Amino acid sequence: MAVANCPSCGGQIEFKIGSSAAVICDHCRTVVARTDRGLEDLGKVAALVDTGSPLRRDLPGKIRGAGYRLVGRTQMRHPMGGVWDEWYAAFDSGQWGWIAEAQGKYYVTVKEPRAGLPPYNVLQVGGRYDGLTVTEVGSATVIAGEGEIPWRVEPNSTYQYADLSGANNRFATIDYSEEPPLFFDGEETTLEGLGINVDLEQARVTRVKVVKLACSQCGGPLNLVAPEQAERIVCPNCGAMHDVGEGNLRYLETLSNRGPQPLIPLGKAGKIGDERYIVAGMMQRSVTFDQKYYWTEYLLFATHQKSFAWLVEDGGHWSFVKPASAGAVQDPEPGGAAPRIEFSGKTYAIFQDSVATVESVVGEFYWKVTAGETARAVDYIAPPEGLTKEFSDTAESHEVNYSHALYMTPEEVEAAFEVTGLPRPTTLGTLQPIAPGQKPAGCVGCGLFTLLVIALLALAGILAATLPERTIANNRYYLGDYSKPQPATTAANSWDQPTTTTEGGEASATFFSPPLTVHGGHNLQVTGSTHLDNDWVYIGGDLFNEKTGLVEPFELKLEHYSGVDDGESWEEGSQQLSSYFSRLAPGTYSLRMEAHWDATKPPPIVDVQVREGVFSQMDTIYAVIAIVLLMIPPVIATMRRGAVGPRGFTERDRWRDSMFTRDGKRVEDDDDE
Amino acid sequence: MFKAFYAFFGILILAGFSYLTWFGIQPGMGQRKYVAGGLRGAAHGGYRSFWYSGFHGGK
Repeated sequence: MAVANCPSCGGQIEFKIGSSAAVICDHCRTVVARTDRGLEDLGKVAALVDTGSPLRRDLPGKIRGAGYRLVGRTQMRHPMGGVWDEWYAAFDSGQWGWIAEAQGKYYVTVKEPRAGLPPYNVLQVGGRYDGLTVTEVGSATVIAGEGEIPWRVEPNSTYQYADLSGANNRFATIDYSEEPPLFFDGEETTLEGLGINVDLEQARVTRVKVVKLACSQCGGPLNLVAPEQAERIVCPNCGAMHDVGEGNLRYLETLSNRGPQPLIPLGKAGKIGDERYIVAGMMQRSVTFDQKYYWTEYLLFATHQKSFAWLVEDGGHWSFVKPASAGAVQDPEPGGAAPRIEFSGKTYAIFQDSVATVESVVGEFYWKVTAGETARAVDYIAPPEGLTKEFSDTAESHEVNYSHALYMTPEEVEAAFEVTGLPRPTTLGTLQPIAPGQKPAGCVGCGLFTLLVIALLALAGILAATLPERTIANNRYYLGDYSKPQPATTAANSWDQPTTTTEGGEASATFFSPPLTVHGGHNLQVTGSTHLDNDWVYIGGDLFNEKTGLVEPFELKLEHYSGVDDGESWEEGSQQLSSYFSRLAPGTYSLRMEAHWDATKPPPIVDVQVREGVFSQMDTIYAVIAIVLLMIPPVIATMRRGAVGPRGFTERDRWRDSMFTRDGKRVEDDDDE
Repeated sequence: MFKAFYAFFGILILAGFSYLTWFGIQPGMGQRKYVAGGLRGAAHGGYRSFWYSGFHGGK
């Protein structure tokens, strides 16, 4: 240990660590650097800001079995206004460790020699380096400090840096305060992970205090629930916005847009999970598509963790939002909008990619919030959870932050904050869960199905009425005397070789119709009719075209039986049957027919009528088939429809409001029913 | 999307039904048979008697 006197005040200063580069005088806050030529006065730093840190100088700790002691710290100011601590840990091995602390999180890194680090001006948020994702590029200003510092601290100096996150809580920083830049590699951890034995409860209880101030414009009360971290406060009475610096207010402006009244009063305490929260502020944000869509965000201060969370309200739906480590998110396009990202083993689908604008603010915020502030927000959903990736860009810094959301019902919020009368939603929330297995009543597309069936039946009626039906032959055949067809319509004097035979109790005869003049373009119906009773006649035949050689068979099985059994009459069979031929070319056709009948009975008389362009039995079957086909899409859509949520909402309803399909494809004006 | 698809599908079905009905299309239309001219010429008794040469018209 080296003891010296402060070159500024003469007070005693100690270099307990042989490798420390500077000591900040406890008496006058002068930074005293150790050089080859002796001690050098680098100037004074400001008094330490109370950040509410549970850590303090000289505390021992142990990380992964390596012992260390906190020997100093610096306080840095972010361009957006926040202040964070960087603690310096002197390990027993002689190595230095950097412990950054911000909003209840701790980042432990050690310096690692690394050549070829990317220049600051080529780094982009979302870019990759060494398996890490760049989550922030910005600058920090040294404002205060204490104890021993492993680097040459220049008071009020500003240096540029880049923060990177990776899997398994890996965290790294590239420090551009020197040339070439320095690389610090490590991990994000918790207070417990630091291995520091601190009476945390006592430290926090003593620090959780509400600072009561008065508005500079209206004199109304302004209560700071997180005074160590507050940067802005907007008076809920008059809308006067103030900068907050160490408990002092500086009036900036009075906001014209006061926004909606908070549904949960500012300063109201509640409990979500095991953590107690106080509502610090509320802001209304919007996105603009075809019109502006608004939602409100309540900033919650966790009194135990001394961190921040959000409660987001949108159309009566609520979600509880906490920051998520960028390294824990598997995002194929950190700088863009990948269709899917993963977090904690769950896959989230992209739902919206938009620019959110702050419309109004009220209460207290830990950054220099302003109305009109914009940020690109990419929302992913896996109901009831969601992930939002938000890009914040200012002239001095560029950040990407992930946050995890969990859906809450209004009833749950009312119970958590002991409030009543929260509005109930009337639509399906973006993150609102839909109970599995519940199917909605009714079917998908049933209305259109009914319309199509009505149209089909109307069409069938119109077709039946407008088909050019015409009879082109109507002849009677006495099968016992085929030489005399009745009536003979043509000069068919070549009725050669009509025959009758008898074989096995069946008589048969073969005969021809007169030539038939077919107009063509429509079907042809051949109808056979007889007056047989308890008898049968079978006619097999062919329609043929003498010119083209077309031969198409048909058959008519005419039979009719009737009687009385046990006092009941019965009847079966048909005395009239038809056979149909598809559309024919115009021309002259004939029918060759071969009839069979019971030889023990008198030869039957058969009437054969030929008609063209008729509405056939097949057309009726076609109509039935068409109805069945029309039924298929609604049945499939109904079966494939997801489970139904409250009030019968489905996944379809949820995705109707999305900029993307469920496959992650961007749709601008998709008419998804 | 479903409505648009279903409407298009329905119109196709109605159009198909109209076509089949108006033109009297029956199943098996494509399976029509033709008797070779030589066969008809070779039959005894003229062109209407070729069945007696052994052709039975599919019956």
